[in-house]
Amino acid sequence: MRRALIGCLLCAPALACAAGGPDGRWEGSIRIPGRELPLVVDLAPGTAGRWTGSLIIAGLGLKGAPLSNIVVGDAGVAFDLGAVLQNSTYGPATFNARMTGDASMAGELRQAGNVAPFTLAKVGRAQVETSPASTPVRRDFEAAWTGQVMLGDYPRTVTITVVNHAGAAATATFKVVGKQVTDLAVDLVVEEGEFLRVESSANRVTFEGRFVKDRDEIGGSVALGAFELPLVLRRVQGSAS
Amino acid sequence: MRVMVNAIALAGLAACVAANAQSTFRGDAAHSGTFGGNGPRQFHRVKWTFPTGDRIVSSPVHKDGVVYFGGDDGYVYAVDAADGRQRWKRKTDGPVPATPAIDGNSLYVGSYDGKFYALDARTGALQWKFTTDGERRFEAKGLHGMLPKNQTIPDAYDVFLSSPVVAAGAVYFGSGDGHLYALDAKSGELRWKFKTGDVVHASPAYADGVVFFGSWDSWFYAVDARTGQQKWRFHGGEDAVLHNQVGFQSSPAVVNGVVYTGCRDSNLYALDAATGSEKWRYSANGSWVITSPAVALGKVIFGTSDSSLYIVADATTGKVIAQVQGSAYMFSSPAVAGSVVFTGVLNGLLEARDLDSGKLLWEFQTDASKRNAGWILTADRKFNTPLFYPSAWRESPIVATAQQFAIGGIFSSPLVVGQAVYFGSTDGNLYALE
Repeated sequence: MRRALIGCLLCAPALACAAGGPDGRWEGSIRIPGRELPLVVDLAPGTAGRWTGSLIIAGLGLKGAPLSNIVVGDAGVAFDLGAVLQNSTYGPATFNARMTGDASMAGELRQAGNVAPFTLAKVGRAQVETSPASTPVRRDFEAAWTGQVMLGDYPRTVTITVVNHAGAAATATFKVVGKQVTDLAVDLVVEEGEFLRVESSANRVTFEGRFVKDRDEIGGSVALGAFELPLVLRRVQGSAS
Repeated sequence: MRVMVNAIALAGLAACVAANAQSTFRGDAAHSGTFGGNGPRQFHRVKWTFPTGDRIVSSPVHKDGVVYFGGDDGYVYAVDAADGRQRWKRKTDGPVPATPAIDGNSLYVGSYDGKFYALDARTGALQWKFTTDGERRFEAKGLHGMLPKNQTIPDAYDVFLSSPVVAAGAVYFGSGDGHLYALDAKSGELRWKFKTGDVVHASPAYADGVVFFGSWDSWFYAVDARTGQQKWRFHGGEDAVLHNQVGFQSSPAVVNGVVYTGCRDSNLYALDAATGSEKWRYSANGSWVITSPAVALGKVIFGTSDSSLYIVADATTGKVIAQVQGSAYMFSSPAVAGSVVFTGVLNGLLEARDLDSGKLLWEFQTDASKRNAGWILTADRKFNTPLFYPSAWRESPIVATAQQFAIGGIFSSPLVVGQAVYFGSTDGNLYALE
């Protein structure tokens, strides 16, 4: 059903950007049985014919969650939420909607094999939120850093290697060696004043620490979801700064 | 003649507000709950709403055209006061039911993740953070009569975190770890911490070099702001059986040498700020006084919880000047702007009342409250307790309070800037009315 709708949307001749199109802030609700969820969707045309969007659902802690795979046509809109609300069996939560008037649309949310109807009304200009982006880091941070955390009475060696790229944001690797070796996929590297933040959102693991110049170390913690483990990272011998 | 006296008094109040006004909980370091200008005596329109991902218990503060607040979705927000558009948001790792304080370019606030943050108020960038010994709610065996009576139960009505106050280069706040902390405002270094016997979620007030605050150990403390040494303490009520009539959740106001604070023992106390001796008390006969009192023009204004009374008392004698029966619990603290008092109610009403008489001038009802999902409210907007609180066993009380809090209720204390009133709701929206 969803594939059919997306196919239909892709075949639509033009994007509906004009007044009455999907561009804007939309408010409404999802009618999950016994639990009506308020829904705010922001949709705006981006560059190269691609659309951008974000979503707010009060009660699920979602504020500015990015929309993925946005497909806009004369008939309506389809998008999903990527990893947010994803189910391992059924995949991402998907939204398909048809325009029901100049400023209204109705559709279906599919999540975890369930289907719920939703309606939306246009209330104003789009306020699409952009996801946090990695930044370049100071030269002091650009190195391999290592330290140990204790988890369940076992020491784990953490090594974070931060690399700058000319004219672009820094990237990092995040390796944890314990009973096994785990390379965490890093999707965010941010320098903020004295602080370095390295995040693996897929693993829900974050390192955040403050650079102490006279000791040449980054003192902070590794957060595993809601739990934090103190971690002091020291520069690996011979690792360039 | 009375008109002239009032005009002089109002002018004095305006000067006082201008001198002490801060971007902090209750409008100033002494927590008077008064705001400059005259709030709207009539409701005109919803200026804007700003949706977030979870309930908003935090109260908004304002500086330079920007409104700042915390969200239970874990973010700290900066929103343009004119159009309601987001300037920035900053993620913490827990709900933020505390109210930020802004001093210079720094914003200070604590989170349920057990950390206290200093952010750049212009960008949301982290300046420093301080780790406490961790947050938790007040808890007790058989709390409020919940069953089984030997089970330790966290208090769902312990909804706020302590909001910081900034004074003399330090930032002061309470914590669920039982301490009041004093940190250097610039560096975040610990200056001192003061240990109490239980959770400190009330917000400290500052006046004349002294920090005043209450704890869930049912003691109210006055502590030297520079040294952290206790100057005096005052004991509120105890309740060894139900643990219902115990502890300070209300935050104090300190005006003209008198400390005014509510207590869960159902009293509003007026204490001598220098000695801690009791000057007078108002008894709400078993109903909590959670609201932080506002003090203006010689009057103390506060509300009660389940008895839902709106009270105006003489600040010197405690004599009741006006007492009005409201519709539902008041946890939101009154904000005085000119001759109008604004208060949020847990049934989703924002009420504007006349300062002198307590008479209702206008009210606004949140959409979630109007929808009344699950008939949490009666037709006259009181809590429909028999329907949503059928049992004191197992998870029933927890589910009941979750439902009670989900109907667009207002814990957040209103902020008044000019002719606009800002407040958060459990429906996840920050509202701007004018």
